[in-house]
Amino acid sequence: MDLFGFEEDLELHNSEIASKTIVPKAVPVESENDDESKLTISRIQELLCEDLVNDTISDQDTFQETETSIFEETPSLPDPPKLRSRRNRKIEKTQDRNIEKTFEETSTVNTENSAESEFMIPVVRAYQKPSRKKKVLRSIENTHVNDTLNSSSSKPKKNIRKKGKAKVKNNELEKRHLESCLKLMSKENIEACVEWEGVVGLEVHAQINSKSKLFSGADTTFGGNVNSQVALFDAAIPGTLPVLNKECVKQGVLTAIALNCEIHSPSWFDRKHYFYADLPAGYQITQQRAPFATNGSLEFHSYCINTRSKSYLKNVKIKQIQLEQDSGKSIHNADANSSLVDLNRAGNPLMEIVFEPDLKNGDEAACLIRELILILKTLGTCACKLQEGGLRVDANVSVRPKGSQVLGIRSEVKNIGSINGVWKAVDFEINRHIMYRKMNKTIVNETRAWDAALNRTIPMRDKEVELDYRFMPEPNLPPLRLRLDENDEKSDLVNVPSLQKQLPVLPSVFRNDLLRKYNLTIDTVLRLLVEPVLMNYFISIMEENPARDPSKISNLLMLDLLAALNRATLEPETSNIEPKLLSELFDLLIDGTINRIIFHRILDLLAAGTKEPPTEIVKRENWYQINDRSILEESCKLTIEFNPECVEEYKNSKKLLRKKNFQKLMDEAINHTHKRANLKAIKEILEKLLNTK
Amino acid sequence: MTLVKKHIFESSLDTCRLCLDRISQIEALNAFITVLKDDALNLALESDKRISEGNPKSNIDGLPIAIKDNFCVRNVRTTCASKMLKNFTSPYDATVVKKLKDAGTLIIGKTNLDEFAMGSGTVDSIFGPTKNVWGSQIQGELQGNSNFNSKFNQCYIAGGSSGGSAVAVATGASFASIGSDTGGSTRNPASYCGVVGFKPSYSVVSRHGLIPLTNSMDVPGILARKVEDVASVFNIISGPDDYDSTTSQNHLEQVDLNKKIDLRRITIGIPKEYHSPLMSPEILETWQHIRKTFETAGASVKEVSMPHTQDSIVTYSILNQCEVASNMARYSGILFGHRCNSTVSTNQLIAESRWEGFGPVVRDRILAGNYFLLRKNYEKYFVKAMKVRRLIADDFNNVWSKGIHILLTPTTLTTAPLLSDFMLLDNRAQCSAQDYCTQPANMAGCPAISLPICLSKEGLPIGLQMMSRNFEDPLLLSVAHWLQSVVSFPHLISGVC
Repeated sequence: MDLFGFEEDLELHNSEIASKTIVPKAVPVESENDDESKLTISRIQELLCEDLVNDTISDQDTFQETETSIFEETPSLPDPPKLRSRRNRKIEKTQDRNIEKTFEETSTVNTENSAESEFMIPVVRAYQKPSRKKKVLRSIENTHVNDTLNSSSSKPKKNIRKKGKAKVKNNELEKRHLESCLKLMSKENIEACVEWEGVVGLEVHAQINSKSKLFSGADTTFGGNVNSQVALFDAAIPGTLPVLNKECVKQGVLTAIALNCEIHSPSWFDRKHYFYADLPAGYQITQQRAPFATNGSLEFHSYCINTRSKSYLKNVKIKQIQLEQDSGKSIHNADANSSLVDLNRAGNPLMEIVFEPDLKNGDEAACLIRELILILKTLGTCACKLQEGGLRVDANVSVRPKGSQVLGIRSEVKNIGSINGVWKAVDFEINRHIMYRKMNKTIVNETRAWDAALNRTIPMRDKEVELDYRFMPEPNLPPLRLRLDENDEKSDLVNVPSLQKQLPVLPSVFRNDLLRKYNLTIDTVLRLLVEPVLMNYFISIMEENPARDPSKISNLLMLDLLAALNRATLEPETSNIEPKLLSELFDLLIDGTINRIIFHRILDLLAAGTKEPPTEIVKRENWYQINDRSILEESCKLTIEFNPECVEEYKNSKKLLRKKNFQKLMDEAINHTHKRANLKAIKEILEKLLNTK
Repeated sequence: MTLVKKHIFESSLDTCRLCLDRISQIEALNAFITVLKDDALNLALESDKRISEGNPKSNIDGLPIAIKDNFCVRNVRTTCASKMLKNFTSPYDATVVKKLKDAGTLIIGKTNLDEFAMGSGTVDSIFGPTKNVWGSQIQGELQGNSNFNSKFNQCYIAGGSSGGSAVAVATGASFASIGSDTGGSTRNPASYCGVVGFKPSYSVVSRHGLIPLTNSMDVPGILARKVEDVASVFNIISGPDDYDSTTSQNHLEQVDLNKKIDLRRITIGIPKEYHSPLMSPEILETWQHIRKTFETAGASVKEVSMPHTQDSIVTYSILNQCEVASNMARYSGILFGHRCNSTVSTNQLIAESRWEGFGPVVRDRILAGNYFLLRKNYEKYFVKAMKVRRLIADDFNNVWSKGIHILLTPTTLTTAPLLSDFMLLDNRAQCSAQDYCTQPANMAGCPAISLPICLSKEGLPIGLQMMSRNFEDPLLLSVAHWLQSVVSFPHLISGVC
């Protein structure tokens, strides 16, 4: 009740905002001028652009749209109205950044039209459907121009309010779709539309798995009390000097070997200068100019994250891997007009892995990061705790005409903290670039941030200033020397050949083994590998009894187990179900001892922590599958007898309703067997009974 | 055997009291920024106990040492003579300080310097200039029964940037002092104040806790009246340090001056490029005199050429300013140091704090250094300067490879200038004249020592410099020890000596 009231208020509030913002854009002031009153196409375009730029209500509507779809899928998220109100405030704050919204809105328009991807390039889509485009052009003349012209009078707004939310949404969305298509009208754009391709290069900052910092003895554990893990050096207390952590070098070298890099000795550390409150020394110590590893490569399977289309092999080159320090964290309190600094992270060891711009889109970027995480976790050189900032991705994005070898002007999205974020941010940027190019707007070489809440990139401050980092060799660290020659007996340097021998089985090798051993498809293997725990279950279950059907086991793991864990709101990696219990349960299902319903019931029990063997549970509860056709037939008959209306409706209706009624009858029939029925059999019987009667 | 016993005073408490008295007597010279009276007296008592029990921690246990105020001493204000660090209390001990404390010495105070050691006169300090004891009003007596200072009442500079440390030693306010030496900052004031100033080889003494000027050239220096005192301190503070990755991992042999040195096996090099036209005749004369002294003693003396000597100063000014710009970046007023009242923005806070906290010399060097480090200038200045530095170091290597053991040069071009004359020059001009003879050793990293030889006609000390191959610090000290015994410089009698 309250919530609804609140929502209505909010809506009113929104439309007020809308009226405030729409009114000033009124055209009539200009249309008094005779020359201006003739609205040329380009003038309309201009106006529409302005429209988009200043339009707030539409923005919120599109958010509602995307939100609802999210909530349908995962009901565990907080209540929509609250969330929305929070976002509204955010939006008001970010109004000055509205230029970028232009793109986002048009992209969400497309979401409305197609359920596929909100990150598909909208213009391309429109182009691919010429019939719609024609319609669009016509309707622009009829409806939209008038609408814009009249927007000074309050009439259309009143209408909007009266028609209610849904209408507003539709109108707005349609309007914006028209607008996005309008932008395509110029000839060269239409010619150009399919020809852009994204060029993506990633830089990954992975925190090295070590107890102490790169140049000091302070603890690196995440989540300590604020400023409790700060050595004098980390606070840049005068006179302190860096001392390189040998363990970090080892981990870095191991990673470089796994990523097929050339390893250099010596390599150097530099100071990279910039002033920031959470960079106490005023410079970062980094190997950026003379890294210990270069020229690596990484092969990974790429696939469309959304559709999980067939995967393909992709090879990306690695420019370099460098050791460097992390900075601290600033916490800004705008209300108190103050900033606070936490130096626990300052000086944490990072390896920055710089990939060449060999990728084309967000899918490839996300798959690359996924593979990299697998490798780093296998090596144990990085815990890859993304939510703790243990692995952060910078994406350099540009676009160029397809086939061109020249790179376009790039923008850099900094500090993306999730695989999903990489995927979305990269595609967002590619689309933004394409949009800008089409609109003949200049793309600036700038640094942007990924706002996961708003699903968009936003420019970071100081974008105009290109920083000169005034690199200088770090005079307090001798060159980093590694032992490259195995025969060099006496040296106590980090020993590269011996690390090479310690290299564990890498995911790619592991995958190939699995493919061969269990005859799975690569896509199945990839999916199992997304959650390492699934892979572990798979292997132990298969090793326990190699006669088991690997594809059935993998499906049960990927679909049923994951769903059960999800229902129990457990992170997959925290699952502590014993593989033996799981395999027992799977066997019970596969050999027909129990049906799927009981299977799920026991799976939930296991997820909840039961240690009782499934066979025992089944025995105790008498949950055996009922295959006896007479019993099944009996329950079906009972069901039919007690639900004449349902049966009637089933017989007289078609398609959906028919199906619905059948399901209802089926459910009841199953209930009669205490959910133990052989599902396939009971379905057959019920169908037969219904259709013969 | 501890040195205390060898000196006039029976106990370290007496020694300490005397030094403290001396410190108050020379207050007008402005040598000390902080005096640690109570701490030193307490430690002296403990030390006496140890010595009486026959358990001294080292052969300098109980002796008072003054520390230049750019070394961190735990829980003691460490200012670098800058407004920026005026209220900065160090949370830790520099390795040098820790080693001295562990050896039982008493840290008696922190001495004055040029702001962040950027100078050669100890004049650019927020605490005011340090004045030389020679030519001052301070009364005393010289070894050899001549009266000290009766006819002069002038104000000469103490040299720098470790001027406070040099004056402390010269006046007997401390047994020895720790200075720092980046372009001659230990040797220059030692020469002007008539004491021994030793810059060890780079990487032999830890820089951990020395607030840096130019990291790649900074070396903690030792000032004392006698070479044997320098050697005692050197034996304590040298050696590898886990906190300084640039320290050499090889343990240097302990310096033993009792071993007699055979001068006939020593070759002395006289680099002709050190003959600067600005050199005063008296200095030149002393230089030639000592050259003859060596020859008479049987050493072979050769004239050598080090063609890049004159490029050292300009090269130094670039490298120094680049590192200064970088090293000073941490003084933002956020975590420690001077903080302005501005609350407009973080950037404004940093900018204003730095503007207020740094003196003009520091600001100028930061500005120039940042200019040199700009991407477009980096090759033109920094990289070129590094190349010239290599040439200068090669000059030294050439000389050593030709069989030269010791290079003999003046330390300074003149005796101590008058403060009033010195102040007429800007910092750059001051340094380029003062560091001419001392700077190249820092470029090459080799050990160098300034030894007081005699007094000028005006009664001001004249010092000469000797340098040797990197890590041959023991040889250098031995030769200096021999020369000291030959010249018998008239030290001021007072304090601990």
